[in-house]
Amino acid sequence: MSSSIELINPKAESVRRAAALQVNTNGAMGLASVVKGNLGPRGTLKMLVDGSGQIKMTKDGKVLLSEMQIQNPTAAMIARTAVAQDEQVGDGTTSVVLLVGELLKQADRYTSEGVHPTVIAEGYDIAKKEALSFLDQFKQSSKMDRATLINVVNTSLSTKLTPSLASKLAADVVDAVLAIRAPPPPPGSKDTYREPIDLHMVEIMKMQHRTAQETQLIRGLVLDHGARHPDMPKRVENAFILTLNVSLEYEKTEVNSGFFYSSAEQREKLVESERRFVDSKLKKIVELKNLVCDQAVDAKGKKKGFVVINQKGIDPLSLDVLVKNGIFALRRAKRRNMERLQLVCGGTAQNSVDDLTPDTLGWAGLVYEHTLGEEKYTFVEEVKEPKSVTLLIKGPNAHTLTQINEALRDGLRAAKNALEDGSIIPGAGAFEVACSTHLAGPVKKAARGRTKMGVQAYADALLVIPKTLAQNGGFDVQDAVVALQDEAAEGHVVGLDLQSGEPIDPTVEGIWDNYRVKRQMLHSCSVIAVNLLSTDEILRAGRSSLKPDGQQ
Amino acid sequence: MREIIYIQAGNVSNYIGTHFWNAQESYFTYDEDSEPLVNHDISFREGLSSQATKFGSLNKHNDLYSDLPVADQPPSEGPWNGPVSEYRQALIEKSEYQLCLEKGEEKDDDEESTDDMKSLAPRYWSDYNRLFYIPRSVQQVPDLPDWEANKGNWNYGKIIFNRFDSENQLNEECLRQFVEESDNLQGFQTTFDNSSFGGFTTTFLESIRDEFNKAVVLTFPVLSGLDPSKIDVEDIAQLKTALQDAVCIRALNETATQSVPIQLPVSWQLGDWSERLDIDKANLYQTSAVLSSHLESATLPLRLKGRQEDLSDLCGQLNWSQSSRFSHLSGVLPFVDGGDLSKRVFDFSAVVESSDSDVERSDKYLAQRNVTRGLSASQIFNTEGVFSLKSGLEAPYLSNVHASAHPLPSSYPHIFHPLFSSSRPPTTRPKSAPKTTALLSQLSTTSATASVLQGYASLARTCVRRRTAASDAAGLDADEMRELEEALWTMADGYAGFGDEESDVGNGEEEGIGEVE
Repeated sequence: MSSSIELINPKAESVRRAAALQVNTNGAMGLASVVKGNLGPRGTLKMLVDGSGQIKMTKDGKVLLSEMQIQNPTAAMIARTAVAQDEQVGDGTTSVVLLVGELLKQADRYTSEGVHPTVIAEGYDIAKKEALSFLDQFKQSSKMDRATLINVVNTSLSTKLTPSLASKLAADVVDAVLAIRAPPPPPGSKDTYREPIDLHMVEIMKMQHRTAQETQLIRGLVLDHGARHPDMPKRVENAFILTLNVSLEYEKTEVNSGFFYSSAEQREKLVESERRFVDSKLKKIVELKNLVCDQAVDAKGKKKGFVVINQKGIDPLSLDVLVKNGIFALRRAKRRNMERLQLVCGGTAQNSVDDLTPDTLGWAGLVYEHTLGEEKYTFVEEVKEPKSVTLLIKGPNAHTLTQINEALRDGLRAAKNALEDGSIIPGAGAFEVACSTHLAGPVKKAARGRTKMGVQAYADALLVIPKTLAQNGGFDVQDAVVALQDEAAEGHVVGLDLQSGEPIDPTVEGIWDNYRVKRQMLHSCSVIAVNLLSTDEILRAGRSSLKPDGQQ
Repeated sequence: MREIIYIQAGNVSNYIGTHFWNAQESYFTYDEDSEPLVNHDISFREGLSSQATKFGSLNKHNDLYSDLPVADQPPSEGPWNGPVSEYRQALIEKSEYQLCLEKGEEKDDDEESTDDMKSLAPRYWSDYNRLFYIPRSVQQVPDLPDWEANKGNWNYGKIIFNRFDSENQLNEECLRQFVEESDNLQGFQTTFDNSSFGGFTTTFLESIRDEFNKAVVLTFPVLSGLDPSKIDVEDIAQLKTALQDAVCIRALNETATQSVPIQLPVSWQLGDWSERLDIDKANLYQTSAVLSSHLESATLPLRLKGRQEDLSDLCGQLNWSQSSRFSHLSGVLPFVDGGDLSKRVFDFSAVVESSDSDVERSDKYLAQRNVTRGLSASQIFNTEGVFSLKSGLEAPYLSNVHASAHPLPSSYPHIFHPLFSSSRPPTTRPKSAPKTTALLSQLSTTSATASVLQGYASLARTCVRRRTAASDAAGLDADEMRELEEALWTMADGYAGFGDEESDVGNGEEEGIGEVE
């Protein structure tokens, strides 16, 4: 029977009914089998080589999915959901892809025996609802001290980095997040609102230098540029920091453009007056410098320095003036660094030089420039109570840097999620095993009629996570899963130990996952699986056929 | 030290850009005593270029900027020691020309390399690239899956830009670092393909505006070459393409300081002007060389040593009335003698139909900049006369710059008809390929633009009236379409005012200044 759409549009292609479901199932399972190897601390890295021989190595599900240039529409739809998962909660991309693939595969077992897909879909809806409420029982609330947080972050980092590096960085990541977290509202006040954590306030800076082990937390700010004048001081101690957003370069006004003067003399005059304008701004800065620095010398005897960090440009002539006055100046700082600098050093950023006063200034114990080949870096360190910090990634090559960067990004999100959730989930597949047991037991019993099959399929599908972990760890999948299920049936919280392949208690080992990641994961994989199951026709009415010849 | 940052996006633009940079490279003089023609400080830090498909064999890491192996690196301390699985795309082989270059620059006997270049049909723009780019200047915008590549949708480009920017921090990292390096930035010069990168680039320009609000931006958008007044409204694909051009022009009117549209080479009409060229319209490698030569020459004064003129002067001259933000690029290549000048000049910015035989219509020139390369003194005298006669303009509105001949690096296609190839100094051996060529490039602002803008405006009006489905496809709803129409009418009015006034324009500068005030 041909599709009715073909009567309307003879160019349309269509796949119907069982065949449509088959296409979706294959797409989903195909994608799952690609990312399967990546799951968990024992998963593999993927090396992507493009046409020009450029190499990208990644273990991040999101990076992989966006780089793979997926052409299968079903796979692309799943990939997009998974990427959205990453954007919302920062982790769980690979799990979502695996679960969708598995949900469709389990459904396929029933539909091939004649069960209507919507029956399964209905069962999935029930199972999802129950799984979410089970998740709320299963989570463990704790007060999130530093040690717990380090465990959470370590769980996330160790899926991307070697154990030694992961445990070192976990502490740094937790310290970074704790440093930028807004203080809780004072106990007496009515306002109980606490600012959410803004991870942008952790600057991540990469430096191709030495080894990955030297990646570290800097309590201060690292800028990716240096002074552009050879005579600028390279190191300033005890420095006042002036954060500016004021242009200190010669700029032409529109009227001043070459068209409107006739002689060289006239031009000179215009240039001169522009120059005077810039000079007057510089004078104000220098005055402020003299005010605060001279006074300091009298008082204590320890020399004070002065640093200008400007978001706008500073031209060579202005730099000259600043050098003569012993000021260290940076131009064209990142817009976001303006915000960070205020949090790091204190003081307020100035948009004009009109009301410069000593209390707009920030302070840093040490500002110095570090040169690495062609690149220059400026460190602002030894500050009082920084509310913004820098994670400085080091590594011998670009691949290492990107890998650590991806891992740190996940780690930061994990710490933030844990702090904001106030609760965590035992990891190492413990939730999936427990939830599967719960669904296959009481929930299935309570479900009516044929929807039981959907619930059972959902319960089976959840096991794909521990199965894949076991497989990537090199253990026998059946043995591992059966052992886990036995333990879980007795009501224990068990996860898979990837060293021995035996069941362990993740709460003892300190393996924790984020609550919101699991929650989001259950949501998105169920929704997309139900959507794909309910599809009974795939149409492709070629848009490309509308393009005329010769047009791209 | 008056830097310009170049941004190019899209396939055609990258073809043009590669020729452009190859020409820049050939200005380098390696001998101690010869004085370089141009000021290298200005642009010899490569611009930022984005490119969707067809990156070819260009690798981000090249000889100059490769990762140096670190000797004292402790072994087996990589960040990951698990197993690695590998996915490889077929390696694109380096082109013959690239291999030649690698072997040690061009061979001295020109005959051989001449043959090489003739047989060579570049597959990618990177095939004839002679330079090493700083890794951060090359940005690869990821390919879209087939069904997502909604080329007619303007807003889609914006989404892509925003995503790309937040992932790769294009603005914060790459662009800012170039700006930070510049001591006295002249501005930005942009070439982009409107069909594929229109939305992307204009959004990029918007964010540049946002960041550097006084920056001068000169753009060369590559448009489709469709004449808006002759569009078949029933042909949705055509309509969409034309609408895109319209949206692009509207957007540039706000974000760019001055724009010079270029029409897609496939839409050119070969004629008298191309008699001395041996080109195939569909061969991008050849056509982009022609465009690049003109583009390079027209903006040459900005890079010349000892000239004070900068990007804002150039834009200021072309748009002295403040209401004409669009100019034309035209020129003669190769320039042989001054005869038949009007026949030989081809306007690369005009949509096809208007460049027919009736060139001399009632169009008024508002401003014109001529750049000639490698002309003799008498030729210069003659052509200057022709210019002022033809355009009816005088000093500040008309400017002439004469410079030495345009270089032809070995990557330049052999497009000159052997009979006419400019036989300038007879020092070159007759058999070998010429090293330079004479040419004439013009940038002009004319009232002819008004009619094109009116064309776009009435096209938009038709769409509003007919509520065509294409308006949805172009990513505009009815209100936006109406807005577009109004904006275009306003822009057209900016030009139309000059068409009527008879001799006012030529009258002198007092009046010009008066208008501005």
